[in-house]
Amino acid sequence: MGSSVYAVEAEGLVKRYVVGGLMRPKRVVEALRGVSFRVSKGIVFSLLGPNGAGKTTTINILATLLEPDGGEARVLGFDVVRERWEVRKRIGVLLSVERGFFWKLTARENLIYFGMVYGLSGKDLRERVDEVLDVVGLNDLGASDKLFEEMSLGMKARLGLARALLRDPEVLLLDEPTLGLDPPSSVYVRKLLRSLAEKGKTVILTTHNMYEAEIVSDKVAMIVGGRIVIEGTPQELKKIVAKKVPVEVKLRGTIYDGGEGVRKDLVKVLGRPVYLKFSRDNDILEVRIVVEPGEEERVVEKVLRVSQSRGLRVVEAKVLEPSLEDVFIVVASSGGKDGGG
Amino acid sequence: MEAVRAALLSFAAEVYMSVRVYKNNPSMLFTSLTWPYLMVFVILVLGSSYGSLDEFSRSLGVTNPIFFLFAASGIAFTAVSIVDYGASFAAWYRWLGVLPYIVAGTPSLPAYLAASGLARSLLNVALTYVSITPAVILLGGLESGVRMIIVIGVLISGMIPLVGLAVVAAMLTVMVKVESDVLSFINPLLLLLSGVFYPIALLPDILEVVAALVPISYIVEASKIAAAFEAAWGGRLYSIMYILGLMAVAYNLVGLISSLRLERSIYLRGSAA
Repeated sequence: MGSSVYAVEAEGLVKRYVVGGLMRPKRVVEALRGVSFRVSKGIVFSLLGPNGAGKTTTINILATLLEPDGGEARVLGFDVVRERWEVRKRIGVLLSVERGFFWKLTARENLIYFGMVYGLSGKDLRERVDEVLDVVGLNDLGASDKLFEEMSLGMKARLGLARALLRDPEVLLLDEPTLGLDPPSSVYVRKLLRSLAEKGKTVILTTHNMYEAEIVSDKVAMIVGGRIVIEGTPQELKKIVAKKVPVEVKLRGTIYDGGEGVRKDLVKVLGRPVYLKFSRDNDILEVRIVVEPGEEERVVEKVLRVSQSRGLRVVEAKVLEPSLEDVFIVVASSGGKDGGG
Repeated sequence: MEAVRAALLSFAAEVYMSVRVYKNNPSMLFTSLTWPYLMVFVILVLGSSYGSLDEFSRSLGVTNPIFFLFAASGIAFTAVSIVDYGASFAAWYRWLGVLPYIVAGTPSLPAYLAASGLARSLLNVALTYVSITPAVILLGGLESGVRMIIVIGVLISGMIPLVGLAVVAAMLTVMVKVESDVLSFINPLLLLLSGVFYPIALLPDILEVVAALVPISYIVEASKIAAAFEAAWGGRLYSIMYILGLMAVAYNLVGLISSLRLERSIYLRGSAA
């Protein structure tokens, strides 16, 4: 096999995990329930979804680390189960920005180790290591000979990308590549991903950051409860909410459950999906609701009533421009509940 | 061919990584070089409270007890290291998070585990003997040094039959998906059946039979032959090497078949991710 117009094709991927056992009751979690998508070559494709939606499971299957229970996936035309090694030779993987390296080795030494494991040797290996250290900017930061344990999270993320690029792969599979990074590091990584796609590499990344998906991706697939609920370019997706009005209300007060109780009350009162973001740093709960034009005031009043009943204070209420976040709010309610990682 | 090259490079990568870790962490090198001395010191101090060195030599049947203690300590721990370094490193690599990146970059997980486990074990043997050789030569003269080299040769040959077992142990460690080496219980059992710390002749009949199937018991036997300065040791060493050769073929074949079955299971469970 091995010739395809697509970089990645997934058809009806199903994955179930058995959790529990021994002292705990066993149960089956359906992480993927028939995930299908196609990714053209040379683009940035984002799998967007909340925690537990099935993003990481999908990436692990494409990276040949996990066999699906049903369906098929191909990378550059090679089957991820039957032609595992052909796939591995053509992909670069980043699964976590925090871990995955030897703490007592420097960035360069870690890359030399992985380069050898990936089949590089001698002068080629050393030149390639220098090249990727340049590409991710670690040489410029003077961090190439720093021990991994002494590196900042931003440097670790760059090192993870450098390893993914070691074999000059055609496809990059990146699981939450900016998770936990400070804004300058996130901006750097996003720019790097765009430049890699411009050079012809296919970048598939997972994220739960709607803003990131919007600015970095050529195409986005939203995954909820192990199913792709919508797919398209950010512009296409935003058309879904073009005639709607996103309303954001910020609440402050004592919140113990991450806002889950408020969400349930609001869904009951408003009869529509509600998206919450809770910041423990300042005890602010951001409530985001997508409404029809003209409904704004009535909805805000209802939010006020619910917040008063829960002893919360309204800090700010405003109308926003529609974004991918609102697309997600609108389509997410069609997804299931169980999910994987 | 590709798999062989990948295995050789994995071996080299493991050596490179270990050497660099020691270079960047000198205190670790110091403890690795001094542990045989601490061990012999503790055994001698405890042992002398129960009897003299002469009694110890007579009961063990060796002429140089200190030489034997150095050699036996080295042998005991380096002999089990192939299994230990296979399984516990798989657990450690998972804990560090490097395992998925290794798995996603190699043609064969069992081949990687065999090559890297062997590299770590050989380094461990090298370090141990670099550490104890000066003491052995000082206490037993140059002839003891030569005998030590023979013991090292037997020891390395004795590791080969255990490579298959080490790979199976490592793959089981990966498969059960816990961040600890659950297979550590194998080591005390191997040590008991090796005859290093407890004579095989004193074990129950059934364990004596099992001990005859454990390669380490032959390695220990060989080291005793070398340490006891017995006459005509060449012929007996030849027999031991022959048995170890047969075991290498049989055990590694079983290991290969088992590990191929385990590999599929690892991917189905997602244990390598």
